[in-house]
Amino acid sequence: MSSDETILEVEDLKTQFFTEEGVVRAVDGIDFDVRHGEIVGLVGESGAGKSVAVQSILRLIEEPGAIVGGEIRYKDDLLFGLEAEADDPEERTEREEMLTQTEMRKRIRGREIAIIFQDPMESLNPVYTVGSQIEEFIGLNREVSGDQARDIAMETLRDVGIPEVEARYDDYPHQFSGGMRQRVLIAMALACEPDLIVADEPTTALDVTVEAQILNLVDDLQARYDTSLVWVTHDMGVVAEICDRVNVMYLGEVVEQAPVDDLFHDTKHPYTSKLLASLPRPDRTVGELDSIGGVMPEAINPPSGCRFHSRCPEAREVCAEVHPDERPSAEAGGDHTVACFRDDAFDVGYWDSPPIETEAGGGFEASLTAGEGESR
Amino acid sequence: MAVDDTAGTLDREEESTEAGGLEAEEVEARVGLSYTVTQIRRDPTALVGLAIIIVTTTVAIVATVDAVFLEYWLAETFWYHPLRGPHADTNLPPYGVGNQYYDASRTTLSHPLGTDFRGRDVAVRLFYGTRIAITVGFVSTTLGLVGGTLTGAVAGYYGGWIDDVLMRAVEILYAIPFLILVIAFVVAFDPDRKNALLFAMIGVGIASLPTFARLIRSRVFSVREEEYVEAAKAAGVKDRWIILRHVIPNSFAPVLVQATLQIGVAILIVAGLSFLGYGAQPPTASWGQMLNNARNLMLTNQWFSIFPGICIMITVIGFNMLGDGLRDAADPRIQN
Repeated sequence: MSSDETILEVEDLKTQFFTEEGVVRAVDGIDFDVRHGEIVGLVGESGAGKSVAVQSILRLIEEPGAIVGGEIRYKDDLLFGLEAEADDPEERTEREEMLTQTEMRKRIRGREIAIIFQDPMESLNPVYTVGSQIEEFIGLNREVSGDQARDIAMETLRDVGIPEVEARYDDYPHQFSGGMRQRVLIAMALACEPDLIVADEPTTALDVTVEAQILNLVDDLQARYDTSLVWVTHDMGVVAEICDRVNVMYLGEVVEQAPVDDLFHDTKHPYTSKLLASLPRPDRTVGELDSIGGVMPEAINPPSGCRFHSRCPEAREVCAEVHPDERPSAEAGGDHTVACFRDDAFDVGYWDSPPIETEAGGGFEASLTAGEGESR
Repeated sequence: MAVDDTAGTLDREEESTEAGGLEAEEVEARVGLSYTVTQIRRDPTALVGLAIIIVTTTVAIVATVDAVFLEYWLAETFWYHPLRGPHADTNLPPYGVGNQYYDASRTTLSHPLGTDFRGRDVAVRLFYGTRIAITVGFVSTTLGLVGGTLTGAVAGYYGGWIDDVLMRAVEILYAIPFLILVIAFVVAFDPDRKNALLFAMIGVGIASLPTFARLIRSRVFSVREEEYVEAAKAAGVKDRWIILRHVIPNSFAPVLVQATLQIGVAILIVAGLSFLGYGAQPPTASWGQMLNNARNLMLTNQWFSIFPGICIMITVIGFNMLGDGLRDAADPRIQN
């Protein structure tokens, strides 16, 4: 298998939740792909739609949510895809070659694409031993006997750095520390030998020293087990540490996409810049961290034009009127795409448009007072 | 009464999960079954309850073995036949109360609790009546437990219209008075009352199903949102298997408590049914039936009703004591 073969391709994915308050456009037309053997980051604040995006890949979205558009391809399989009905072009139905839920369960989930959840404290069933839970997943996703499953489980646990595996194999989850449990979860994902692992903020609940250990471990194992990873996080530091390519998400859209070095050294989108600027840095002493002003708007009624314009320090009138699609950056070129009018790929007269007042300067407090004003 | 208990268990369960925030790990360790067992060991009330249950169950097992496999050989060899009895004297009072009725050849243990209107030894019949009570308690509760747990778990896990259909059906059962439902069930399926006891057990089981279904459903609503359930789905585990292996075991604690209490309720109900003539049929020795026989002699020969009554009371109290103990042990905030 050549190293740059694309294994996962997500195109114009739209996932919505139909709530009583209205339609929440949690994921609103995102594109990204994952190539063999790379770690792709999915970055954004809370509520950007990262988790919904990865759950959509495995078609785990439940009522009242649904994937309403786009296409997801994994290797030769169509995980999701719609087509227009012959007699009614408005009506869209699932395409015939799309996998059924049963096929998804039998062939894809766990076997081809595994997922590691956010909270290691909650992701293990408290009533079973750690060993038996790994065995359960192996038995399900690999054609092996019970004894073999046990051997594989032991070996994987050793690989993820659990000390004294023989002694701890029959321990219950509550007897493990947070970092150890996260290792167990990684082992559970790896043990089924998937080609793609989706890690949904797996280190968010851990303290930084343990986080560093886990990141090193993942870097190691990724090469040894020859899997690709989608790494969901809100932490730019983690991105810098392990990702090869990065997708920055804001309010259900991908706003910037680039190889990790380009993203950090040649940042194109103001949102990405603000995310980077809000990182605490040990080499600088500052009175207050440079946070992003305001809070992310509700995905029920996203702002007009560029969705980030309400919080963007660079916003101009045109940003509130026209919605930027994602284009290859004219300045950076190559793999770097961006959805911001400041890039030369767009020709909408950004530079001639007058700047507008936004929440960007005000910090978190400004948004609180703004919220009060609205409620009165 | 039973409804109150259910609500109490529920409330406490919910509060206990909320309380888990601060010391999640410790609390998590405390909700496990092994923890519950160690907690029970330190609770004298629960221990007394457990002792009563062990004694009655042992008696029931011995009686069953003797009745089914040995054709009352044990009883006849060491005591009297519980169904035919010595037939010497009828309505003898317990030895010690009315010694003048006993002839000189009798010893103290001849009829310690007297004989009934057919001259059968009351103590022997009580001993063999235990068998009916315990069987009824366990069989009917198991039926209700299995049926209710599956119904409630499926309803709670899938939600939506499946939940609506299943729970409305269950609520219809709930709306009919317990005793009427069971009597109707027995009469409908067994008009000759040849197997009245069997149908009474099934009837009580079905009638207790709603309690279990509602109890587990409310727990499943929270358990199905747990990340380990999500993780199992993402690993390609079948819904059926998720419900059986992941959802039910984690929702089971309040159901177990309710089951213990329900055994007591079932014993009481079937004793009542036997008293009314819809349970165990003569000449089977059962406590409810002995009460039925005693009802005309209640004023003159009180012992006929007192002893079966005491047996029922002690057994039911035993199950209730253990149930209360289990409930306290399942609540991590109560410290002994």
